[in-house]
Amino acid sequence: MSNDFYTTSILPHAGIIIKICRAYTDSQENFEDYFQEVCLQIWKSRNAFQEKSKWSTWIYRITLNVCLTLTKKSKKKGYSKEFTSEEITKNDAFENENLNLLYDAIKKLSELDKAIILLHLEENPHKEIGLITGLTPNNVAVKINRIKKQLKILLDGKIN
Amino acid sequence: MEKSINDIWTKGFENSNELSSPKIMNLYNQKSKLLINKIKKTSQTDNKSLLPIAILFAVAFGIAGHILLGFYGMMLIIGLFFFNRKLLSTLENIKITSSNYDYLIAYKKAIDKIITATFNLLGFGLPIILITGLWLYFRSSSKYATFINNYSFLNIVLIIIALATIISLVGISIYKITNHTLYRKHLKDLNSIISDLKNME
Repeated sequence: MSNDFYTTSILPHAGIIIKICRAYTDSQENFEDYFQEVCLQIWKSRNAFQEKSKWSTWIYRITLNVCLTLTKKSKKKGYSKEFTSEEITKNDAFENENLNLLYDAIKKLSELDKAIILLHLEENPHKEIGLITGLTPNNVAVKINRIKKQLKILLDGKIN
Repeated sequence: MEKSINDIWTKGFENSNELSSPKIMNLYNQKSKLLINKIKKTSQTDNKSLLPIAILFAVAFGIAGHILLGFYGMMLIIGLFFFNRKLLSTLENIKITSSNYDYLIAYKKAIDKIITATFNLLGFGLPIILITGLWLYFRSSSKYATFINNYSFLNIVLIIIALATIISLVGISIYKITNHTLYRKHLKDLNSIISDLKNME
């Protein structure tokens, strides 16, 4: 992967990649693996991008696909790891406590709901979310309402 | 709360430090390690599987009344096991020197050498060893005498060449099928990683 490609095409969107990867991983090590795999897949599939959609939509799609695939694979392998207290502190990657609580709640959602709420929080319109997830805009709107209610229950009394 | 979820998200990322991206480094180290381990494991299992085959060969021929031939076959297969083990040990001796890329290139070259060596063994060595074995076994029998008496020298040479070609083709085909079944994916992954690393340089 050339530095040019990384700097011009991936780095401007690194934020969303980081946000999504964080939601699908439980450790810094996993997060870095997911992030790198996403970058690699974006680079590998760059020629398949047909400019029918925005580059950012393409990146969302790849990021979500990679995260879902890697999550499935690790579940299939029965990979689960008990983290030491030191690792848990390290996993607590964001300094903002409320943000960490929100992430914890998002991690408890189903894989599809996780993707939908992440795209919504990134202010993607329902139509765009529908294009990425394969749902109709109406369906997306209904799902977002349900997910927010679910998050509300999960965060109830925890947010400062 | 609905509003605050969006707020938590937006405010949470106001601090740009929250989004420092990890450096793309050592991307292929883990992948390479996993792949090399898979190749090693598969090749070792593949080679060890020759041992029960050798025993089965001896038992089957023993039951059929050809104890000596069974023993000879068993020794040949065991010989192949040690030959493979020696070839595989060359893979163990490859050390990471300058980079992951160089290591994988060296590994790929060593695998190619092993494949060529095994091809030569099956293509040329196996027919010679098998035909010699058959000759040693049957030379004192009446069947051998009948064979010699019934065919001219030229015909005997042609039959031996045909037999050698068949043995060679069968050996190579079995090796190709085994390689295709066991290693095709690993070798494809290895080539893909090498190609990616080359592009990244």
